[in-house]
Amino acid sequence: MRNRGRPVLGAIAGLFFGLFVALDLVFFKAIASGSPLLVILPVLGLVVGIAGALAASIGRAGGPPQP
Amino acid sequence: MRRLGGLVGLTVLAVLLIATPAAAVFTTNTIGCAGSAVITDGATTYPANADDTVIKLPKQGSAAYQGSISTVTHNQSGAVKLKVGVVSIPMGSWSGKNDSNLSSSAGVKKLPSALGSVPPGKYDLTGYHKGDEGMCAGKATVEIGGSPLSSPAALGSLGLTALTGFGLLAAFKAKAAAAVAVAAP
Repeated sequence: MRNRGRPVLGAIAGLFFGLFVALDLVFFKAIASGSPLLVILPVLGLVVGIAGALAASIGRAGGPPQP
Repeated sequence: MRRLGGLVGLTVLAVLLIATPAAAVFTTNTIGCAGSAVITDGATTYPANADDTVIKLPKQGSAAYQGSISTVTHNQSGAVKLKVGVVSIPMGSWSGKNDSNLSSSAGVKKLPSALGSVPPGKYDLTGYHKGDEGMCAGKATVEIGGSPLSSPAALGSLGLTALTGFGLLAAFKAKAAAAVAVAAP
């Protein structure tokens, strides 16, 4: 048995999570609609989504096999 | 623990970027443009000056405006637009030859009805005036009032944030998969 994360799901979910967090910040008047965060947060979400899913696979795949 | 550190780092970055002050600024002003407006929705009055950090804007009402230029322009045109995402809402436009050499203008303009469907939030307002003698252009941050929880768009965005957040957590959770084993003969 080996364990692996879901990098594709991480990429898609991260991208849209970043986008909707940025939109929430606009609607709650924390940032303006022209803020660079509207571009930065989706890209950051994409990177964090992929990296987090890959880290999950690396972190759990290296364990010794169970008897 | 490492994940918590990453979240703290992201939060600090976000706060630093959010803290960048927004203000009305002229990006170009070769003809000495100046102006102000008093916006009202019938019950509340919102003054707006060119150097305000944030201009408050009701969803409906009218604006009593006045603008001036120190260098008279001819064959002139101009416009003011509100940027809502990829959409621009025209707030006003003008053009003319200015044969009478006017250096100022004033009047009352009704706010566009499209403002009523814009969710509460902060948006960028851009405008310009240009003629044969030069031009000025500027931008300002405007705040459209109201509770975000009363806006379908904001509620939808909150719901999708939660949904994609769960998707992200699911991606971070490792799943068991059978390793492909090559059986020895």
